[in-house]
Amino acid sequence: MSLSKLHRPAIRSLSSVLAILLFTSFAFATYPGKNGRIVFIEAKSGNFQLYTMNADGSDVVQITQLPPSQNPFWTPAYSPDGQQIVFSNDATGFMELYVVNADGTGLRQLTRDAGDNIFGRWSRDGSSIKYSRLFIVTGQGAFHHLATINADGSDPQFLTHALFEDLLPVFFPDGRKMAFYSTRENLRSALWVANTNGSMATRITEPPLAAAFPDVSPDGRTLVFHDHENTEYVPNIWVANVDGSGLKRLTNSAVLVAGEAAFSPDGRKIIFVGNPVFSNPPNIYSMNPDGTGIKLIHECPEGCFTPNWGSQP
Amino acid sequence: MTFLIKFRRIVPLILLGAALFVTPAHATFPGKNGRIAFLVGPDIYTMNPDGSDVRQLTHMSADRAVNWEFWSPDGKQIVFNEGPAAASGVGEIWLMNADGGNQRLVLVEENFSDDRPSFTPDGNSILFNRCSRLAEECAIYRIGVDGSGLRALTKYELGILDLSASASPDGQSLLFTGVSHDGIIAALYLKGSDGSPLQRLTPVPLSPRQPNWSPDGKTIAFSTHCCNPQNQEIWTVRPDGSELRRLTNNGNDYFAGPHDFHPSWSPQGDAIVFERDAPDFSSSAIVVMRGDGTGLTKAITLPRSRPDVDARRSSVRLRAQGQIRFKQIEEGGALPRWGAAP
Repeated sequence: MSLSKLHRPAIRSLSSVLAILLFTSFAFATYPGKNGRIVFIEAKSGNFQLYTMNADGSDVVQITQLPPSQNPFWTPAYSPDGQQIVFSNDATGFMELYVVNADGTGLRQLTRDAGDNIFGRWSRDGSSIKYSRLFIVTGQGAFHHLATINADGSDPQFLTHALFEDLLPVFFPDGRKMAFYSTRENLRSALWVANTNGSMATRITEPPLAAAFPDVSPDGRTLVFHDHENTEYVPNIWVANVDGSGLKRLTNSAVLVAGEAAFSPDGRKIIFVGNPVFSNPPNIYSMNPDGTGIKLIHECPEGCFTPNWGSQP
Repeated sequence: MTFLIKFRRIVPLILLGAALFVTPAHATFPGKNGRIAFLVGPDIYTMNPDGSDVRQLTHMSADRAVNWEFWSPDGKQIVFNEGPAAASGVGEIWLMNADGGNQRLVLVEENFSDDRPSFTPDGNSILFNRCSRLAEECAIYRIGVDGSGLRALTKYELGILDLSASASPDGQSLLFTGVSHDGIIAALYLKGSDGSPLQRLTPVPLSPRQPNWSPDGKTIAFSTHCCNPQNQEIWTVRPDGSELRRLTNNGNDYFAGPHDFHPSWSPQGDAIVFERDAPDFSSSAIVVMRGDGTGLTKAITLPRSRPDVDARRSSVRLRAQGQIRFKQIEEGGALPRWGAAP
């Protein structure tokens, strides 16, 4: 993919750009709490490991010493109490879920099905983890379905069975609903909200937005996500109410190409990766939930991905 | 995931390109019902519509394969897609007589993959889709059967794949499967010869593939796994998008019902031939039914037409390469095509 192609401007107009969202004050968190450290993966010498840092980018600590991995789909997430991190790794040759303590001790493997288990996200009480698990359909290929597993690695279960990609199930803070993104309905990508058992799934974004990678605000009112998933266009970060109304674009890819956003536990910041030049490795930024105050907090010469902000343990 | 994929600078449409190269669509031209062409392994065969008199037309070497065939309007020739069996190879367009004789190359270009040829109704030109080698974009092209007059009919646009073109029997409309237009994974589109804008024929959630004109130009048959839970079925729609009909109904349990692919109208317009796979894909059959979906008759049973690859392993590998999204597009198949009696 050449640079010129990467920088071809998006041609699609989105009437919803004009939608106005009035932010209420954020009194809570991704899971409510005081802002703790940020976990992310960073490439060094071409291989990824898990790192954490303070909210201002200081005190970067490497917390895994796993075999060399070039697969960037680790997508780490803090447990609600900020004491553990779930992530995926391909040390066995397949992406499996792992849990590690926030200080890097106590690494344990959760899934063992030699499949493809990605996008782990904790339940509100920390007892289970939802994730996307590969399901093979002869003659149609293979699809990620939403799945759940107990935090001790027992009882993995599929939750959804659509012959499309269901990805990144993220709980609402009340634990009753989840958001995810999917290619259901023959769409490149869209955000969906469902009960946590997978039932009553409702699509909340419209094409051609191609919305993906949702995170729910700590007060359960707002989703942050990026657009242009599964397209050749570069992404922007958006917010919307959890019913899909109040769509608002926060970043402008002509200035900063940005995606993979997540809320801080106090709801007052959004963390994300981006780079002014898309083909350059993404760094980690933060901004206010209205899109102001964009600030580079960690430079990554070889690229950082999928930051997630934990509560103070 | 956008960053995860794009940062790695891996072209995310490779798999789509590879998979769609074996996914058919075409028109049947009017005439007296003749033989049915189909694929088994790397080669083209023909048979009578009742499954008798099977003849092998091509004999590919081990490193080459045919993945597409299409009858000329008079039933005397077959245009086909041939290329290296490896996915990295570019597609070539070939012609042969209906008995397999006089096989000759029409078009190959090193920097493009030229695939899924079909005849225009006058039999003088071939429509096909031309993709960049990494299938970042595909557009519909036309070329004379003598290899002259190469011309683009749709635009090359990054990320957009226009595939599987066929002309309406009156030659006035171009039908194709459009991938990635307006945030939709796949839909059927019509383009008039008058320069009017593209018209989407199928509703967004339908996920249609493999469109085929009826010989009177009034109906288009296609295969879809609409909606959820999905079982692959044969549906029809009018060229104005009206009268969407489900011709086969395979139930709502994907693992209990059969799976139907690749419809092709008979030249008399009285029947449709298609591929029906067993619920567990342990076998395939070529099946004929009336145009209204009644009177199913099995013409021939084939060995399993979809190679039982280790889907899990390949999928994991592909996803790691950033190609998570096109696995749902089916691969392989017998591609039955009904020709006119010469």
